Amino acid sequence: MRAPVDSLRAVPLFAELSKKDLQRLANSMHERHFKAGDEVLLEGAGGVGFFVVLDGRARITLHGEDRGTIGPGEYFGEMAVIDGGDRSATVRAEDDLRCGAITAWNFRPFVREHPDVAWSLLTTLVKRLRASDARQPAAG
Amino acid sequence: MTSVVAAGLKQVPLFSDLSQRQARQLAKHFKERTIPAGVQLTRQGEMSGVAFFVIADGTAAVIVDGERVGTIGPGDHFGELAMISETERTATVEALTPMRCYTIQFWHFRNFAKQNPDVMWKLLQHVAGLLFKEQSRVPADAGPASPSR
Repeated sequence: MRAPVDSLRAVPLFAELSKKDLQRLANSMHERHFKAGDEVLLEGAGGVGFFVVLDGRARITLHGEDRGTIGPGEYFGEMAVIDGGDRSATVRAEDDLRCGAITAWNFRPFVREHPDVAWSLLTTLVKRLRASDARQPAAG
Repeated sequence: MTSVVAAGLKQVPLFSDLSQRQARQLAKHFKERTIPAGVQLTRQGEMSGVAFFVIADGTAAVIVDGERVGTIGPGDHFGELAMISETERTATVEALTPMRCYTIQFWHFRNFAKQNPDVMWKLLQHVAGLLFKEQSRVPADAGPASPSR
């Protein structure tokens, strides 16, 4: 099933997209449903998709350590899409979870063609990097 | 000055894959600044000056919570994380010698990145790589360490 355009419109990452581009994105996204406790992504496993939460909550764990939950409008899977590496975290459905999912090979060119989306992803990653370790001796 | 800055930018890992043309385009937005020894280029916790710096000459101390954690010199760059996220500086950078730096303002950098998908993608990969490395550091109590990538 395709992800509805209306749901994607509410995602901040896609806020600056035109109606046409949103439609295009929706066409290459599939809606995925998970039940509470279902594993969506597994840390260390190869990953090929980007997920945006449409309904429900997902819990993130890293090395067995709880990293909190994310909800509607938030996303995961972007790391594997960008660097093509293994999953950096495990994601589990906290309750009934509805996501829009897009393959890495479809999302990558979309990001490259939409600088606003790319910049938004970049600022999110940078904020997360800075929040994840304020003790890091990186200058800046 | 543009060709000098462009050559300097090619030494920065983040920009090493830029084409000659892209490096020159980006270089046009940089301004040269000379800084006397003892001056702080950034202050930890402050948001002032959303600039990215590339050091051409001189050395500077990197100070976190009043403690010197490193020294940076020619070819080194800093400030890109604060510039991109528009958040406060995580370190104070203080000139140890007289310095010459090239700096670019946030909005010029953002426009340039948005107009150059290859540059943007390199930035994303650079930051994702840093984040991956950061997250791969297994806590001491989490069992055997897995090999890092």
